[in-house]
Amino acid sequence: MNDEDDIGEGRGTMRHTGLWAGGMLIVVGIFALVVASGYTFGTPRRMGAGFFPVVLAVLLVLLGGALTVTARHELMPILLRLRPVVAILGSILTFALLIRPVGLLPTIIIAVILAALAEKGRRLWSVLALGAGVALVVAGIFVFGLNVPLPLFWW
Amino acid sequence: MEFFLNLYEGFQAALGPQLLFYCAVGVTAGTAVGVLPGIGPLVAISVLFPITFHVPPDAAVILLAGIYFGAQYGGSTASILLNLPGTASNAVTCIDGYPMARDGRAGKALFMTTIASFFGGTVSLIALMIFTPLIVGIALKFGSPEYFALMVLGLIAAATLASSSPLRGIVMVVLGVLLSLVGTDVNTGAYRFTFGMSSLADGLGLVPLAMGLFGVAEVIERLVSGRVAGKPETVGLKSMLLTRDETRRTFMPMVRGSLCGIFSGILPGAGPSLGAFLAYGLEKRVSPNSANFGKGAIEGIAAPEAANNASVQAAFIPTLSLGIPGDAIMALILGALVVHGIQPGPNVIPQNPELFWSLVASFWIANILLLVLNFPLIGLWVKMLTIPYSILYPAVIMFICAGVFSLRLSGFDVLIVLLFGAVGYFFNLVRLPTAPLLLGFILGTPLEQHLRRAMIISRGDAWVFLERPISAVLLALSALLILGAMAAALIRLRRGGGMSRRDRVREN
Repeated sequence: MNDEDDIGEGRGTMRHTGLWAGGMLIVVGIFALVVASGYTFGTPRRMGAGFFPVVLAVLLVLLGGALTVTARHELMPILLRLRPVVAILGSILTFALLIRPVGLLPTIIIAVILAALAEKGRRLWSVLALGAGVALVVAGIFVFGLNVPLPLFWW
Repeated sequence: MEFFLNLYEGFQAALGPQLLFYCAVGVTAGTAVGVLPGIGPLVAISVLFPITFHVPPDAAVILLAGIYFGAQYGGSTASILLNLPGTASNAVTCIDGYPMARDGRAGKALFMTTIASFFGGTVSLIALMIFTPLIVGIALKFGSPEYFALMVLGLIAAATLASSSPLRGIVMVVLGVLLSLVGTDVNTGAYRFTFGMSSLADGLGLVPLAMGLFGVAEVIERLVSGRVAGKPETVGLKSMLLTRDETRRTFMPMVRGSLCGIFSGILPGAGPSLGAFLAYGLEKRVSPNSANFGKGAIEGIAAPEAANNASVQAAFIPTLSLGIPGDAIMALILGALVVHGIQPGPNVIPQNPELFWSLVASFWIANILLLVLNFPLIGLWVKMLTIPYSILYPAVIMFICAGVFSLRLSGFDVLIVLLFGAVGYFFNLVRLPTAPLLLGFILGTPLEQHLRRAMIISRGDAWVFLERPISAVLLALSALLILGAMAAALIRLRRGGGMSRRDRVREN
């Protein structure tokens, strides 16, 4: 119910979701077909590494085409707000890049700060406290509970 | 006699400290995510999945199963108190649960859903104990053509029954199978779709893929839509007790609900949400009290709550006997077995009977623990409804990152989470269902194996699939499902341009 109100207020835009979905699948299918055509195809009796991928890629292109055709008039409301998307993905990227050089505890605190940027108007001290809390719980479960050799700090 | 001996030994194993501990952790975490709207069992399982690498296979399955069961028990709490389903399968409980709460009967409704969940779980577990070994006995005679056909049927059923657009489901299954090919081909040793990256030689990890597609994508989706919950009222224990009349009136609804749940649980692609809707629809038709449905009829919460819990426990029947998971969560649970070197299929139980029986015993214990967690401790869960999402989501993201990194100490795996988080969010935007993709990803490798083996045996003659009666029947059923779905889509197109806008919004 709430979603519909939001959309009614005009924050969302109407998009051709069927075209996007079908088009993406066709592109992925053609790409897979090009790559897989480099593998040995073999015969039905002795299938090579390329047999199954080629069949699947062709199937993907055909089904993607069918989706594009049947859903070409489909308009769906899409709610687009980039801020949460960038903040969450940025937080994960930061984790991936920092975990080795910096260690678990500082990485989590920095990544939590980034994740918190997904929402507007959060206070720094409460985010820092949350980061410290999450870092301690994660360290407690993985390092001390399950004995995973994750370095806590960089030294 | 052997049956009881097996069960006895199962209970001995299940009551050991380790299994009991992971069972308790699973059901508690499951109840928590069930109670909290916006965090479903898939997210919780994604978050806790890395832990299963570090514990034995039976503990791993019990942990994940406990989450799934617990979410069904806890999910009704927010449905009743806030008119906001805790998980998708508790949506139908809002219809009569919320009016009961506004009547001041929230306590009774919460108690009823707990009892109904326990009832459904119990009936379903009896079915699990009886039918699983029977199906295994039949499936052991299967050869590669039968297996291939069975997996095709499982994938197509999951794709066409679960989503409202069968074409989108099937195309995602194909994409999932394609993704499963990344890595080294076991038959020829060739690298496929690795693009020269040594990190991809072992293929895409199930865990980073699932966590990105479900965990990360769901967090982003919820932050974008910005949904927030209201404040629940407190519930006292005394207000929870049912009268003798209410107990008597809800017995048959629970029986019928359990049967609907078992049916939808065994059917691939159906799952607990469909079971709950089926049970509610049936009850509304046959109940002498049907006039009060929608206005706070206690039968209207008893039947669907028995059904959704029966469904998730019955889903183990095809998963454990055939190795065919019915939904994304079962696929992940199967993945936990694969991680421990147990290949899914009918050989699992004959080769590891102690695993099966300790699982069955643990499922009983999980239900009893949930009864305790949800009745005397209900006040605690109601309080949990007041935790803001702002605190929860950074913790969820960090658990996912740390969990994935802990598996192979690989930053590359975390980048895979990032990639599939972005892709999963895009899929949600354009309404491509992600659960069929995961099923295709899990079954992709055995699907290719059995296809190859069947073709070698038949010397390259594809008729082998139609000459063998079992595989012919299975493939005919698959074809029927596709034809039926196409016919339904054609009728909808003729009626004027597909679903209404309202339906599409609700489907999301």
